[in-house]
Amino acid sequence: MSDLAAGTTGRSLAADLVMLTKPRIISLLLVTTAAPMYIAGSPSWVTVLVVMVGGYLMAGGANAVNMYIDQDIDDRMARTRLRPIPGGRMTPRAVLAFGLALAVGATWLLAWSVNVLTAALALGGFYFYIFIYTRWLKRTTPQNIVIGGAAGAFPPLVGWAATTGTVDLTAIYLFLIVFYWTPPHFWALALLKQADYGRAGVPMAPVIWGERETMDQMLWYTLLLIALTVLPVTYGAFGLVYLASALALGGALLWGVLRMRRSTPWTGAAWWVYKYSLLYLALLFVAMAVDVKV
Amino acid sequence: MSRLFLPAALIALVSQLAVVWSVVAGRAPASSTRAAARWAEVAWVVIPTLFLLATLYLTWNRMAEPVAVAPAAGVPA
Repeated sequence: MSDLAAGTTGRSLAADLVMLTKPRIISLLLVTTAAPMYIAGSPSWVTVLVVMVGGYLMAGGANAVNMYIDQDIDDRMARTRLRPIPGGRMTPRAVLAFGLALAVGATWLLAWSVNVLTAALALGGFYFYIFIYTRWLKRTTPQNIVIGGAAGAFPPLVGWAATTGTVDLTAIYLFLIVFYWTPPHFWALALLKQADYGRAGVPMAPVIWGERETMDQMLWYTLLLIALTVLPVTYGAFGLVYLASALALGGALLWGVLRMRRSTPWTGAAWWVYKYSLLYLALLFVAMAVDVKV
Repeated sequence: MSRLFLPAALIALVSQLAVVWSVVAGRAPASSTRAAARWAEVAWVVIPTLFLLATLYLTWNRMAEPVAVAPAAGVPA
């Protein structure tokens, strides 16, 4: 603890450790982990609990290491300036050690209590987020969110593998749904925070392509996403309850993106797309689980 | 439900190709003007396209699989 910055009290340290894990983001990842467990089978509540804890630790570890790597740009962005490292409340070394400890703990917990494939997939998501997204793509290409989105798409594979011990076509569709959901979701936020990203030198799509092209791409990815949510129905993975939910939820997202493209100013509509897309993904996965169980 | 495959696959492919075209045509350029960066940009949209094609192929195969019917009680399998 001597590595922590001076003046850190026990209470604020606990708050900072929680902040390093980005709990609000992880809550959605846990929904996309838990729902596939029930779609794939009937897991015990103990298994679900262990996977939730392991998933939280792994994603939290990845988020903490991300803050260690991004400490230089976090200081330049209003959205991230109050994080523990730029805020001077924790040293970079302490943050890195905390993140790695969480990842090691999660790997051990999942491998020992669930199965090795589940642990390997969770660790794969950790490495992808740290090395492919944060270290490589984030600062080099406006496609960073597209490819980097794969890191956030690992949780459904983790949940599926925890129940079945394998990965099949439906699990791949769940992966692809999160993968193609990420661009319209994140670019709505990137449009709103483009000045911040520009100041930090991060080549997010709106900074490099401009607002119009980013919105056009959001439209294409939304159409792709809706089509992908329908395809598992074609081979019997889900039924009518899910199909109706997917089309209704997807239709609302498409309406939001189209409204954003037509609106001047578009900021209110972009906020709506960002917030609704969070609800969209959670409800879509819940609809899958409900459809399979009824 | 299998009749949904063609329209859904078509929408997915046309949308994915529109994304690829926007990069190839330069509407969604790389963050650098170096040739290597431009080629990397193309690769980042081609890789998901290949993955999508493979998934559609697997889906088509799964739809073509005969549905397994459990033997009726008392009837030798």
